[in-house]
Amino acid sequence: MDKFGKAQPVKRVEDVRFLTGQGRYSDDIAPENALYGYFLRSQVAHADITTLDTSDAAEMDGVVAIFTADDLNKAGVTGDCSGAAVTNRDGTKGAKPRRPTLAEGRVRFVGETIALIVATNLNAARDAAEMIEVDFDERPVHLGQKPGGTAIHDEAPNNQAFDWGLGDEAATNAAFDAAAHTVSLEVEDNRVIATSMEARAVWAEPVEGRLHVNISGQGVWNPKSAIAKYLNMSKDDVRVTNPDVGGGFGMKAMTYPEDLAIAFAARTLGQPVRWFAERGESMMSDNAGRDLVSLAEFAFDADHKITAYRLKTHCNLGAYNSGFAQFIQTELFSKVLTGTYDVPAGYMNVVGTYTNTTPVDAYRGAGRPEAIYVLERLIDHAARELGVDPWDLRRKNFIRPDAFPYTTVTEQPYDVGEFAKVLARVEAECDKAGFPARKAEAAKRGKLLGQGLCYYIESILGAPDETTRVVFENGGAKLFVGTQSNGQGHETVFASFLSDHTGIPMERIELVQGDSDAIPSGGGTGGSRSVTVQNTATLANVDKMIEGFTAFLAELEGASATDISFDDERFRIPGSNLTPTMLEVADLAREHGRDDLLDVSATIKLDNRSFPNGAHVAEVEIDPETGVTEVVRYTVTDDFGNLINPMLVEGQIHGGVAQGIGQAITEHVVFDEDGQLLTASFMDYGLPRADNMPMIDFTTEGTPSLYNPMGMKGCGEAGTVGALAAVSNATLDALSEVGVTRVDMPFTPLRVWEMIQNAKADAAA
Amino acid sequence: MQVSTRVYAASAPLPCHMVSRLIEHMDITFRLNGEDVTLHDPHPTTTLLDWLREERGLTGTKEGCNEGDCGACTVMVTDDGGAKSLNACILFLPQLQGKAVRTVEGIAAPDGTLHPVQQTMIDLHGSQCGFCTPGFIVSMATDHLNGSSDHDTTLAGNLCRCTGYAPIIRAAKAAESAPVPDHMRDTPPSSFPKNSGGEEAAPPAGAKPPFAAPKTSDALAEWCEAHPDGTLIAGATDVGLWVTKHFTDLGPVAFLNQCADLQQVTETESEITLGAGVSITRASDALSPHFAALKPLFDRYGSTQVRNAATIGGNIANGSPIGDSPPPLIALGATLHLRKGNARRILPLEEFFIDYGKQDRAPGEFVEAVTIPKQPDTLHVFKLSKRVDQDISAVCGAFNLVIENGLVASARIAFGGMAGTPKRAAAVEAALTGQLWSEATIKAAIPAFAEDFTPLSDMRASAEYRLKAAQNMLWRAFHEGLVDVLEVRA
Repeated sequence: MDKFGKAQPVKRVEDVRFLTGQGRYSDDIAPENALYGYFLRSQVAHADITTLDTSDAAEMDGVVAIFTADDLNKAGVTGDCSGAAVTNRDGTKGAKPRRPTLAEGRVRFVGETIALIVATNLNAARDAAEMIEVDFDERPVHLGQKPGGTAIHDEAPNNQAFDWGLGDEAATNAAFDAAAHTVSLEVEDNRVIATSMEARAVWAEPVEGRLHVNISGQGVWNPKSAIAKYLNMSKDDVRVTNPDVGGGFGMKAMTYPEDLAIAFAARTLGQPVRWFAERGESMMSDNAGRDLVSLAEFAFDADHKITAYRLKTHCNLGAYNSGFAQFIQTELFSKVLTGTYDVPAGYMNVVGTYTNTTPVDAYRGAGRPEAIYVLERLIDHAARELGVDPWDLRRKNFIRPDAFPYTTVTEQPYDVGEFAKVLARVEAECDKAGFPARKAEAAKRGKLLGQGLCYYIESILGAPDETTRVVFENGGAKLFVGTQSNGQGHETVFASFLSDHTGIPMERIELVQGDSDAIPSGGGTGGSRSVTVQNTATLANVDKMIEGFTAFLAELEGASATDISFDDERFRIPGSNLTPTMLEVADLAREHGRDDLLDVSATIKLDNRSFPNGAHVAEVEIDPETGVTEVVRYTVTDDFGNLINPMLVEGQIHGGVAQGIGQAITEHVVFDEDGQLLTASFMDYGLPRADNMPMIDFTTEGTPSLYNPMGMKGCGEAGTVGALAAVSNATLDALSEVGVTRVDMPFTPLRVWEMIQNAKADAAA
Repeated sequence: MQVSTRVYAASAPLPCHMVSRLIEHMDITFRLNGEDVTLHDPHPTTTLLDWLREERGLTGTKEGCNEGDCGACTVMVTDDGGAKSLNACILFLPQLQGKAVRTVEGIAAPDGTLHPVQQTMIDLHGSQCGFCTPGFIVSMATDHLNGSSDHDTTLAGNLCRCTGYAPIIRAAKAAESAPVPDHMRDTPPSSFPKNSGGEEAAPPAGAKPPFAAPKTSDALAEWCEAHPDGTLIAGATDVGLWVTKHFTDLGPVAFLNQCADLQQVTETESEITLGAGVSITRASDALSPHFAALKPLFDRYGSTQVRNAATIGGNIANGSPIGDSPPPLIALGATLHLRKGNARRILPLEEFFIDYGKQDRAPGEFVEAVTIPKQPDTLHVFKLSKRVDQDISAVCGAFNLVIENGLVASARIAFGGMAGTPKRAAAVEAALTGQLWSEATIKAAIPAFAEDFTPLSDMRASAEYRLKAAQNMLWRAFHEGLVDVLEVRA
């Protein structure tokens, strides 16, 4: 048996549950006697609260309690949920202003929580929210990605949150001074709203002196710590669970003010309290993604080899410092700063800005789609400026296979890579040779066809350590994992992996996830980490189980442990007819009182995570009369090393590409000049629909990673990482025919039509 | 605001002695996943979604948006007209009277055998997080039952954030040829309790408002006269949002779903009459064979679930300036049938719309039907919205142009989104009629748009854009000729 498993497209065990309506999400399993929480939210983007009077509302039928910041303060709950800060270039820390759970005399974005109403039913809570008297004295708002304007926080005059840098600035500048050619490009990366189909949800229930908090989230240990700290409770007294989760995409990874407030209310009232975001409040208050603008520059020698890469980014953090926000466009971005190219010198400088908008934090790929987007737009631009083929320019600058292991200018240890091989494969798969004919055919119909390539590399992130625990009971095995499925199919992939390596039938394996009482630690889902770390821990665990059972059988049978083997199904003992399966040995061990063998845990820590990479080729067709832009052909060839479950991998790519195409074409977040979010419903926010999505042609060309025993590479975010530049490069390719020289997402009909009109006007001028 | 957008609003209340035939209880009976359910005195504006989840413990049906946009709450409802998918989040319990409802929990066979679409969703990996999945399954199973195969269109009302849709579309296709499981062929409940669907329930002891479910338009006429301040609910695709989003207390309501004579489609040699309660789906089926341009228009009206619920009467009577059915119906010379008590009157549809929020309807009067005269198909319709599926029109233009011997023999042109009401373009019509059907004529007619319309600027479009777009629609009608008039994908 190969260490990496059978690579079979095992069907998902969770599907029957989901397809028959038996999935159980947070709001489906709230305690029956739970009170309903409802948040009064700010309707203005920046203001002092001059009046906040809850007295009439509190008298209304059904209202149990109304909490404001004063009540938290009176209860001695003074914590907040501000995230971590990066270190500035000058050695100081980035500005980390307080983020109150409930507004403290001031609101800074539309949708900020002001008061929590708890009532016996939802309508009563909503009615009471309308009865709360609240007056605002509005302040000027600051929007956009760059600092300036009236300070939103005292800690950040000029609204600059941080000024971060990485790389060798002097060497980079010197390379630019000596360059034969330089190119530069400013690129915007538009804000998106995650819009998981299940909005955020939380309920909390006091249980025998402890507090149980159920969250639609991406892991239980971070919120457990945050809630315990916030409520001044011992961690032992807080249990956090994640049930089935209807999509997270990074957005559900952080602890939100609502989580803390609901936990506070339940503890204070001694009764369970539930909250499930309405779609509109979810869109106003869920951490958004992206929202940055970068100026990127290449220096080339006379032979078109890149000699340096320089980047200046401004990113919008929104109104507060959300959990991991300052690290997204800085450290995470830097992991793949120079992509798959051999770049001798590089420097990046990122300035973060507070604005009166919804906070921005992780969204599928978190920093890496942004980095690859800029880089792959720039290299296409460079090819155009240098008058060379963009595929050739990439090939020329790829890190060569014999250069591995390769350390990038941002100190990333790439282990393996066969970029030219993958590119050759995608060239065939996408029928690049047939493109001119397709373009001519489109032209006959009055359409502009463009083709765009993105060669991306991803860096797997998230916690590097993980624990697998296996408990033998009831004739089967319980598999405890520290990751958290948000729909990726963990129940299948972890159970089938354990089954492959132990022979325990899949149907006898029960996966346990998302319960801080059942599992002592874990990293949740994020950074495409789950399968790599969890299965590595499972392998370590299997080794321990085999070792323990072997010693036990040796003692039982009077054999030498070294002679006993396990062939992934049965133990073989020389000279004995006994060939027990693992479950049979577990039963024997139980009979012999060896309970110590029936509960096995293993913890691993990976020194390095993997670097999946691949090529996306998009073809977009544009109607120059209307600006309507459609992705009509999409080809992906990925290097994910060895695949664990090819069917699930393809599902991740499909979904990731869909989110990328959504950002590139349909998803347009609009705030007006007062900071009001105009796109807070499915009517106004363009989530991709079935007819916006092409069928995706997906193939793999794997080079196994050296950094984990399975040789696999994470695939959860890769689709999104590759899609943005592929679609954008294709769009510019199509529009260049009518004189357009710069395109920024999203390519909505209006925006594309305007690009075309502006190009025509420029040409005429 | 609230009054101005009501489906059938009126002003002065009538004396309460006119409230007749009060009965003590209003029972609602429907079949749920094969089992008859009778509810005693349900609150009339409790949604099926809330009832399923909170009262019935059937949490498979999900709340994704609570306004009919995402399809996570899709259920299959079967009545005499067949099975259709509907959004449970904007479906009130009394609308289910006498019907059969199937939720995601009832799609697999009673013995647990998966439905073909469930099996293909597993085989082709069509589910990831599983939250939108129940809605997709019900939509797909309904399509499977009805033999629909245009999955991009029928599933446009179901949103998914995980899969990228392709595996779901593949699953829908893969299941097409599998036989329909017997249990999916629902029939309405075997018997109705005595009081079900009675004329009116008394205001009960609690705070529940009175509601009625008249079975004839005679009974409805009486109710409307008695409740001039009442709200009529047909498909609830608009009124539903007043409740779920604006938390409006509707006061007295009457449900039209049992009013049999409002559900009729009547076709004679010379005309087609649609009862006010005919759904957009049925209206499209009835009219599209005669007027080809209506099919692509109606396919972009909301989503499948919305078209199955929304009614032609509601779309006209709520007086919205951006409803999509009035412009083509006006262009076709449709007439509206209004009724107050026993008095009926008929007026050209365009005359019904007086001003924003104001229609030619007396207190207690209601829309009974709309009649479309049959004629040679010379209709062009263009809907302009920000996206193709499930979006509200910025401008909807309908052109009924009869060209004879190269001359414009007659022109009936109407627009939505260009004024406070759906409105005819009288000056444009005048500029075209009798003229050569030529570029010069079009050019000469273009300035007339400004005489007919002073559109508003709002978040969908600016006034200038609307005017220009309307003018360009005339150009488009000219350039495309009279045959190939299909959708505009922008």
